[in-house]
Amino acid sequence: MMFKRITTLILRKEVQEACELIAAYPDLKVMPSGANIFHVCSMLEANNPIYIYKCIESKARYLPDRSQKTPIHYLMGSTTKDHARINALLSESQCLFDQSRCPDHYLRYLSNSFFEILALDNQNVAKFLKSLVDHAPISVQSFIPSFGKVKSSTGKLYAFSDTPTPDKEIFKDIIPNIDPNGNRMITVRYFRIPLDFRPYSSHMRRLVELLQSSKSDEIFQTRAIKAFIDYGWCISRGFIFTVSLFYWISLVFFTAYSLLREHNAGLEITDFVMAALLLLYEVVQFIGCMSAYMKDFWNAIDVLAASTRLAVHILYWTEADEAVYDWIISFALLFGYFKLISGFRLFKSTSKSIQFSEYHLVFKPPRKNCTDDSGDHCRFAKFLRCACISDNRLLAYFLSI
Amino acid sequence: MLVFLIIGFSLIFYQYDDDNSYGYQLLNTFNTMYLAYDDVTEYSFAEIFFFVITTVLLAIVLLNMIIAMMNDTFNSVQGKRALSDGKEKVYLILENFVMQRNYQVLCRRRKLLAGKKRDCSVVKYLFYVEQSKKKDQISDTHALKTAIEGIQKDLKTQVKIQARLEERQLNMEEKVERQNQKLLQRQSEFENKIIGKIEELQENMNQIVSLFSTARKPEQQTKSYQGFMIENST
Repeated sequence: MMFKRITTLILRKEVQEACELIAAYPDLKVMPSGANIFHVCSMLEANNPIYIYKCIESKARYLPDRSQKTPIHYLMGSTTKDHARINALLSESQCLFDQSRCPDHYLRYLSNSFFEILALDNQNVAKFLKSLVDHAPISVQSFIPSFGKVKSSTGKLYAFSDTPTPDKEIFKDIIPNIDPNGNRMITVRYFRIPLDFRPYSSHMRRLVELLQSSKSDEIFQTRAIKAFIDYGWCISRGFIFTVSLFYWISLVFFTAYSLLREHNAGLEITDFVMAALLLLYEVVQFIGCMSAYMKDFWNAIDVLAASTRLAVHILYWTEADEAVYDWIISFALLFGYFKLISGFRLFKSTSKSIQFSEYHLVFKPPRKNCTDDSGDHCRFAKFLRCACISDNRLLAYFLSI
Repeated sequence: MLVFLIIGFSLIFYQYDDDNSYGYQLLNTFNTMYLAYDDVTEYSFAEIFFFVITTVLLAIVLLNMIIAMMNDTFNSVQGKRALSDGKEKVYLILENFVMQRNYQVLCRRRKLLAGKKRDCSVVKYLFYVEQSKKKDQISDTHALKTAIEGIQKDLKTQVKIQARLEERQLNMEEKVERQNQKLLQRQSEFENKIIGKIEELQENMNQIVSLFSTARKPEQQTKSYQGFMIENST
């Protein structure tokens, strides 16, 4: 009866009266569905965050119902997403998912909704993420020495478990990688939502794609995202270094080719194959994730470096005009060495200088109220024009080669 | 500012040069900015004067510009460091993921052709062991030092307060003792006085008793005489 009355009031948008009833009956529950007042406030198309705040204020319990759905499930599952209520709920997540409330048993149902929440990409999502990482229980902490040194470049070691209270078995690979002679404090933390963390799984790919499109600084400052990025970097580091090494070797070949005044078929074919492989790599990248590919400034350089190198060989074999050939080889060298600079991103100590260059050349902050991404590409085009035209001495130097 | 300076100085040099075009002078002044200029030994005094001013001014302006730009850039990059650092890595991770996915698609096709089943997704909790950073440790030790200093300060003040309290207690004890002694003295004086008074009273009583006894004897005699007289008369 009371539920019906509250529902009617919410639908009639009689906020004051509905809030009074919510405050008066925070423990109302509908059986057998197990939905409480919090679920009702999330289910209804009320479009007013005040109901959510009232539920939190009156300490209505945030629990899953019989169908294992929590209020955030209903909010995220709605056909017309009410961002006001979602943000209201997320902004209070530190209070809702407090350790004292034992949130693990209902956060485990958030595996699928997590990506939708992350896609919202705002500071409330960052608050939500902050509440999702916590210290492991003391029983778990006791498996790991409290002081030592982690033998890892990221300073983190990872383990996976089916439960939030795992046994010592899952840490058997980690313990040998902790030097007990170190003097750093070692802590064990865990991410409260279980996901498919296997390398290259659909969950991991979706996570990386979402992070790539994210523009919120706060999200990247959270422990959860830092841990994900470090984990992803641990998986990808080997591959990235191998590709970079391949590129550096190929550039050595191309430099040797550009220095030679005589025809050398072996070198030409080797360099052509390498350039073709690099271009193929870029094409696969482009097809694999178009939106992300277009956003990265260095990808444009990669494509230009590979394609101009191929063009050089084609022009040489087709015996094209020498002036055109000289122009193309100059550009190929210019872009080739530019791409080499991008390799500095791999090292923490030099990545900052790359950020400076990017900031100056391409990613200057957009004007106020301007969120169009195409600005970056316009600036990039301008930069290319300036780089090619204005610095006549550099161009003359490349042409002289 | 730089453009105006270059145009201005190129015009000055153009006045002294009848052989070359203005465009050449403009390029020459631009090169002067990077200290790449023609032979100046044949310059007149006025030309050398302006040449020196040009090189000094342009160098200062250029340096100022670079410093201002770098400062601005540093602040901006520092402000969004978490975002830019994270994004750089995410782009590289995504690059790997895209390649691996394509590879997996190829492998899966092979597996499907071979009749193998697709792997199901397995959700698990991610645990990570993390060592504290040096910065954190420095901040921790700093926090500990400040906490210890605070405790030391508190202890010092508490010790001072305790010393004061002890002093006060001693003073109080002395006062109480003095008071006690005074009281005892007064008590003894009072007792002496009372004893004296009692003795006086006793003396007085004795005197009264003696007086009373002496006064009673003749009365008894007369009474006995009167009794005898009465008896005789009866």
